[in-house]
Amino acid sequence: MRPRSHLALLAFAWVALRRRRGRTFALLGAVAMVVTLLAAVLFATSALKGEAERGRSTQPDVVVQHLAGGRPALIDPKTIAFLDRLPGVRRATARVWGYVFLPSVKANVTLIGRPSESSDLGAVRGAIKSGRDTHPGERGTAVIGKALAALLHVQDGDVISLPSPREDAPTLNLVGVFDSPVALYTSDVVLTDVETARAILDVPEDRATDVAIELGNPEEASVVTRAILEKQPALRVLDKRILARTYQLTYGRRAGVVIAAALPALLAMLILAWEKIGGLAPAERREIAVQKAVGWSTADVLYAKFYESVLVGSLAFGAGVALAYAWVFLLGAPLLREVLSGWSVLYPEAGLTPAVDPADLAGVAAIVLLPFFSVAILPAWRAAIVDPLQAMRS
Amino acid sequence: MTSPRAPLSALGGAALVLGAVAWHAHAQTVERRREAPAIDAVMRLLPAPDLSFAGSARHLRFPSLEEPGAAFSDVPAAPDLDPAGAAVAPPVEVYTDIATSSLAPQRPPGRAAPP
Repeated sequence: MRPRSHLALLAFAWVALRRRRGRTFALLGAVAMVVTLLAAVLFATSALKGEAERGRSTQPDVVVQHLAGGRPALIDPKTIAFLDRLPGVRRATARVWGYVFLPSVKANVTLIGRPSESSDLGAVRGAIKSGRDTHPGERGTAVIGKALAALLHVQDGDVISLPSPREDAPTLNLVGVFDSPVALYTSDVVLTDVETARAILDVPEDRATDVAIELGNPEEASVVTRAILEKQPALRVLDKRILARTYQLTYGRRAGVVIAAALPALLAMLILAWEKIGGLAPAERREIAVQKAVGWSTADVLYAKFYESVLVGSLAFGAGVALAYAWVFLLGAPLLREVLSGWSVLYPEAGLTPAVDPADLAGVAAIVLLPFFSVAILPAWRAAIVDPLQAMRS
Repeated sequence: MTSPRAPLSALGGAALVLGAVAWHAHAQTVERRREAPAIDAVMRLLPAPDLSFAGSARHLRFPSLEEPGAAFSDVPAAPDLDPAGAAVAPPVEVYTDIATSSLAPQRPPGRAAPP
């Protein structure tokens, strides 16, 4: 068949769709809705994974925790010294951090003691929204997350008191609030000096929550992990590469559940397509019979039907992807984001950054459009191979 | 004979919409890349790069640090969905490339500990 004939059949399919406008819009809406749902889940998942992966490069090669009775416990100074002396370890930093439950807002905040040698966040554009960073050697000052500041109705210059097991725990002078670009990571964070964090969390002077290890050669992570566990089986060693697995599992699992829940919608769309396109009405059977009678081949009939579904499918796919994109990245994925990322009192308000993978879109197209195209062909073929005279009489 | 211009224009319009989505996504990504220094600076001070989505079932603010040893997943008594990753399985390399020696037995099973 010549290309020009294909264009003619495409034009014929377009006219046929316009003639059955109500049916066309119903189909277009159904396919677009399924595409929107699937594409939005994939968009949001990719964006969340992308955000989580963004900060992975800055993380230590290995994190070591101490287990006592199978539960995380504080690390003693002997263990910290042991880790620092290990061959291949460039630096072992004892970290002090923990969770503090705030009954007033019914939320946990993450209290982090920052090392004194860390860089000034105030000098980095987009890190601090208002106020300043804490200064090295300064005690009792803190920078807090934007969502937490909004929830507590505080700002830089205010003083807050966090619940602590110690009666003499210090109060915190807020000197700054984190900015929006880092809101996804810091909405519940209270960043203060190590000594203040120790006092509030009641961590003894020489102990630490965990130890961050930087290696001379990051490729030796598995070797160092083995060396640590051979000598200190009570430790738990987390290789940086394990973080990637967690993100894949966490967001992949949630996306999988949502997609599985969306499968009935896909099935409903296919049934609708079968009814409206595939299950040909008597008038359409007669139309095909007339086409055959005036000289159309079976292939012509099938192409015309195929082009009808291609037009509906392609337009619905374009509309569905655009709607999904707007839903996730312009509107912030209302309803969907809670399902994928979890519910929280201290929810970061920051928008997601697109991380659209063409393979995801190809997957959506394959899942939705291929079955959609195929349900249109078989009944049309059955109608096209019937004798035209018999079809017109019936 | 009907002109094929209308259906071709419609298909072109759909392609244009997809192109506009791709362009906007690219622009947003470039914009986010500009914020990388701030993210990196803050991230160095955090225990892990996890997003601050504290769960309601368990307070795992940093799942990447807690998940490998968690007694159960998000929902108590639910099937452990982690290994399969539900309907969309994680890439096989995620498992095969990572040494999980922290979970391996410290000595061959059955061997008595030296007195």
